[in-house]
Amino acid sequence: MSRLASLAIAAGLALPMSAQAADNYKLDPTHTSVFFHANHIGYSKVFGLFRDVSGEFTLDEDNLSANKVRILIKAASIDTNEKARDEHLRSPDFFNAKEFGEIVFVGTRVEKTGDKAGKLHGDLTMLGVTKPATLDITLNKIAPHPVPKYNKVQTAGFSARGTIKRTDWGMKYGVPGVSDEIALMIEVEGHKQ
Amino acid sequence: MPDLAAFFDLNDPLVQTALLPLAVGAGGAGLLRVLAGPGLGPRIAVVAAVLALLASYVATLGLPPWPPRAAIHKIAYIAALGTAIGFVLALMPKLRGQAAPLALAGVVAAVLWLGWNRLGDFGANGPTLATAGVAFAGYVVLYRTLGEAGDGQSEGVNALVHAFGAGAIALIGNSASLAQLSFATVAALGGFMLWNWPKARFAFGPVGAFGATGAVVAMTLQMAMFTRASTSALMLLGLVAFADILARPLQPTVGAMAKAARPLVQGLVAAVIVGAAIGLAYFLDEQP
Repeated sequence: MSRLASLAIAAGLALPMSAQAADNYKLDPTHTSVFFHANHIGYSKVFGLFRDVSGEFTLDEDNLSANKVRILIKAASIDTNEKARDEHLRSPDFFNAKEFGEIVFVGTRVEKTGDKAGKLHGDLTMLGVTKPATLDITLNKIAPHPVPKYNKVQTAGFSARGTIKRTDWGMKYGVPGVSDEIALMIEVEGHKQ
Repeated sequence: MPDLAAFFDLNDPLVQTALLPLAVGAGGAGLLRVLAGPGLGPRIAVVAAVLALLASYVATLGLPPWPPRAAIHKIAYIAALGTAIGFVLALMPKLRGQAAPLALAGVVAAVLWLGWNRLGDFGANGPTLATAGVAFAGYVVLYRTLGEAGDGQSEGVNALVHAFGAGAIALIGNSASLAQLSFATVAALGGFMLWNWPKARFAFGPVGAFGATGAVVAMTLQMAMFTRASTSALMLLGLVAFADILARPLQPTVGAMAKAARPLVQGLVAAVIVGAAIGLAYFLDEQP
C-alpha cells in the first residue's frame, strides 16, 4: 500500500473521532456582526461594519483549546454610514476590495482565562498578508434556540473584542490621521449543524 | 532662519507629491548630466524623473515589499524595471526600431503581472473587456512614445499631461494613493522638463518611455482593474499620445519664439484631450 493511501485511511479514521468530540456550528448572518472603529485625527472614533459575513466554528465544551473558528468577510461590504468614504475604503488605499475581496480570520486555539472567557488565537488574512491576531472572547450562552422557527436548534453566542495594527497587514494609507490601531467588536451566533 | 525641516516635512502630502519629486527630478537630471558627461548625460538624465517618482512612492507608501503582494506595490517595480529595459534599448538602437512589439510585450506583461491576483475571476473582479480597452490605449501611448525620435520636449510634454489626466481620473475614482503617484509623476517630469524648455537639452528616449510613461500606463491599468475609475475616461486619455500630431497645424513656424512656443502649444492640445477625459470621468462617476 502506498504511503499516500495509508495516510488517507489514517485521516479517515481520525475524522469521526474529532467530529464526535466537537460540534460544528454555522454562523447565523442575521445575528452576526463585525464592527470596528478607528480614531480620526484624535477628534472622534469612526465606527463601521461589514455587512457580508459568514463562517463556522467547532465547539467542544470539554476541550476548549481544541475549538476552531473561521470567519469570512467580504471586504466590499464595508459600511461606515458615508457612501463616499466607503468607496474610498474599498479602494487600493485601504481594503483594496477588488484585488483582495475577502478578509479571513481562522481561529486555531482557545486559551481559557475565566469561566466563560478566553483568548482566541488565530490568523487574520487581509490584503494578501496573514498575521497572527488574538481576540478576547466571552461565551454568552449555549442553549436550544427558544424561537419556534429555529426548532430548538442548539445555538451558541459569543462576543469577541480585540485590536489590530492595520499597518501590520500593509494598510498604511492615512496613518496617523486615521489611526493605525483598529478596534474590533465581533458578535456571533451559530447554529449547530 | 526658516525651518527647512518643517518646510520639507515628508509626511506632508504636498511635499510627497509635488516638492520632493520636483526637486529630485530637476536636481537629479542636472546631476546625472554632470556625472555622465556631455555624451551619455543628456541621454540618461530622464532617469531622474523615474527616481523622483520612486522617491515620492517611498515617502507616500513606504518601501514596496518584495515580492510585491498588490498591484500598487508592483507599480514601483515596473518603473524601475522599465527604466532598466529602457537602458538596454538605448544601447541597442536596432531594437528601438521594434516599437510596436516592444510596446505590446510591455503592456501585456504589465496586465498579467498587475492582474495576477484576479486573473482567475475574468469579468467579475478581475480583468474585463474594459481593461483590454485601457490596455490598448496604454499600448498606443507606449508605442508612440517609444517610436518617436524626438528631442525630449514632445514626449516629455505628452507624458506630463498624460500623468496629470491619470491622477485626476484616479482622484475621481476615490483612489488617493494612485492619484498621488500620478501627480508625483507630473512633478517629476516637470522637474525634468525645466531643463528642456525653452531649449531641448535632454532626450526622453526609451528610458523615459518605459520608465516614466510605462509607470503611468501601469497605473491606468491598475485603475481599470482594481478601482472604480472610469475606464472610458482612461481609454480617451490614450489620445494624448497624438497631441503632437494634432498640434502641428497650430504650431507657429516663424518668429523668434516659434521653437519655445512649440511644446506649449502641444501641451495645450494635450490638455484639451485630458480635460475631455477628466470631464468624462466626472460625468460618468456614480458618486453619491
